[in-house]
Amino acid sequence: MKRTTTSRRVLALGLSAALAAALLGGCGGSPAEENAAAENSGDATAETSSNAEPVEMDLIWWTDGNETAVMQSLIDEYEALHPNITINLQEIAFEDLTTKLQMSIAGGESPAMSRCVETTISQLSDAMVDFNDYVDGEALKEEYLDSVDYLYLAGDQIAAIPTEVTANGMIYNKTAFEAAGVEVPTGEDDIWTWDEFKQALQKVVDSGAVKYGMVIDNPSHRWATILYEFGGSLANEQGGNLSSPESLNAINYTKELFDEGLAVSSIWLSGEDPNNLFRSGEVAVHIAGTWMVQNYDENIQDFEWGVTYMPIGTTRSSVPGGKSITAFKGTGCEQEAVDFITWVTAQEQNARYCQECLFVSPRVDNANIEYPVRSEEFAVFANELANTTPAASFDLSMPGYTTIAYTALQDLWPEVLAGKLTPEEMAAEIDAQTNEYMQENGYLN
Amino acid sequence: MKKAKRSSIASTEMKIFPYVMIAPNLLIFLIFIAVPAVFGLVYSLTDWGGIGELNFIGFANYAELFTDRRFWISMRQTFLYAIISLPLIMVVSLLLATLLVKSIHGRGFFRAVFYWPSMISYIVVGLLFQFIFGDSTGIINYLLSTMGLPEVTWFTNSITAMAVVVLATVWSRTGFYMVTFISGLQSIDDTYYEAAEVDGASPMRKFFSITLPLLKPTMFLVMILSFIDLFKQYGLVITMTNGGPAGATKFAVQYIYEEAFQKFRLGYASALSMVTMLILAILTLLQFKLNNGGAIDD
Repeated sequence: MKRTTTSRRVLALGLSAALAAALLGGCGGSPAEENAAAENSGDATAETSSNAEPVEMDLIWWTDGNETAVMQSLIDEYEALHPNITINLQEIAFEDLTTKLQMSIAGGESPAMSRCVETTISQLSDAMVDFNDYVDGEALKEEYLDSVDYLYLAGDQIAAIPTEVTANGMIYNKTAFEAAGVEVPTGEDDIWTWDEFKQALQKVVDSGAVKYGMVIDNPSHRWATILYEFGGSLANEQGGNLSSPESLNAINYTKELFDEGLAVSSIWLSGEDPNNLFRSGEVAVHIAGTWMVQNYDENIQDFEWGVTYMPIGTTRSSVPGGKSITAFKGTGCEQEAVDFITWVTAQEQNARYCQECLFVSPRVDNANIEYPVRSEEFAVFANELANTTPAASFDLSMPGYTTIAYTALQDLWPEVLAGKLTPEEMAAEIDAQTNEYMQENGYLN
Repeated sequence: MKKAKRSSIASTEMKIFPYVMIAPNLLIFLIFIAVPAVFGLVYSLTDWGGIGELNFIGFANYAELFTDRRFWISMRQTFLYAIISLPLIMVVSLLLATLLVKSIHGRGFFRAVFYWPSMISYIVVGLLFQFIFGDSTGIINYLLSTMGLPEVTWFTNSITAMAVVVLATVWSRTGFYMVTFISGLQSIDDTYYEAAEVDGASPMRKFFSITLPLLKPTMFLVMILSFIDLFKQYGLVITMTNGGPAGATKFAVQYIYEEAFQKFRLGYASALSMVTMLILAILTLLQFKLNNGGAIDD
């Protein structure tokens, strides 16, 4: 009798442990081997999925506009094609993305998939699957623009598959500019210089049409647009380049914008939300990027807005960016995750995603997507992207480097604005970090 | 004989019983505090970045932190914040407790009103104060501008930013300590006041000669709890000022968080945590010593 009770306890404990393991994993259901025979494309798994065990996967996600709704509709479609697959779209704040992923990975509980940016890949690529192991890597790379390599490659590893590319640019309050009688550039031939831009901005503010001149999202990725346009860069073949005269000109010019009250300092100094401020109609210009088009198109009703060309310095430039989707190792459902990712980033699905979210596609075969609205604005952003300086590509090409440089810029720019650090001191400090990185990673002899 | 045996069992049970009662708490302490602390100590001796193998580097992280100017600035700002906020919290909550321990009309309502903010998370309090004091989007500056008055740069001036953070802290924590003080006040025997009444003592004299001395254990408790709470401040500032302007309200915990999760230096951040914990432990012990463990003076 006693033995039976003990056996029951052991059985109960065993079942509980199995249940806990299934619940705690990044996904539940069949092991990858069951689908080992499946081909790498989504269609191939569709053929095998009817007999397959149920698989539940988490996709970590954040949104700038309507991406959640669009991705959910694609997931619904995929789940209908693959009845054994369930994908849980878990929306989190972008600021929490890396922390959440890092903690999950460290705790052995990686999610099956996650949306990510280039910095996520440079930091966590070791924990991500290599798509080369699942699909024809060379053929996959052929499908994407060469300029977006940095978005998804970590050395030879294909760590993710891109979903969209972004370009930095200038969004302006059309109603305010018209009220102030200030015309914005309408083509490549009449682009403002940065001095002309400052005068135009001052005129709009002085007219009383708006309270503030401009907002710049952050002192790192978005500010880098100004840096490149002044002919500067974060680094070059010789090492850190922020102390160069060109880079210092960009820093000093930006500081003047804040010192003269044209740029809103609370964005950089105390984390006020630039999007809300622009949407209030009290700001003339927002230096942001393509990802804001859908958001502003949907949420701004009280005034007209548009996109104009960024002013020109010694050159023109934008800063490319983008997003991708990755799958993680050790989840037990890597194959299923890869299958979904290759399906959702395939031409047809990606075209739908980019069209509905108003994004630029990174796929070569989706270069001519027609957008239902704001095609004029997209043409300007596309032009900015096409004029991106090679200096930007150099900075972005070093895996993990922009995380270091951007974090340093975010830490130190507020100190420059507050007068605790001179532009030269900030530049020297970041250059030292750049040199250390480049030395450690073999970029310097 | 049987009685003696029963008494012996009872005595054994009485010895074990307290340990059984504290066992759940001890278990929670071990799992969530002690074990992670040991892990933290191990990580602090490595250059671990969050994933991958542990690479032991000895005391290099500790050597680095002693020359990390920004960490010590954040520590200085933490002290400044705690030193300003602590007396304010204690004075305001004691004042409210003294008023609301009396039989006045609407006592329950006022107690609830003052206690309510302590139930709101620091994150929400931060957002609320950002909404009120925000430089460009805040209600106060909006009202000032509609009246033609100059706006105040609440969060881009280091002094006003710290002042608003202190104000938000006092507002959100006072209610909790008010309840603690009310409990302490209610435990003071009325006969002391009656005797003082007979001797003709003024209300002020009664407060300083009876209330305060007999409230010393409660005050000590409030001081220790509040100090630890303030020293670990993070949620409030991250949503209100994001540590700005230029680090004026960036406290030690935010600095550690950024090292760990923005720069991916978990080993170094663990060393910073260890040092912060040590400083906090020393200060708490010091307070314990100076206050004689909160014992009432003879």
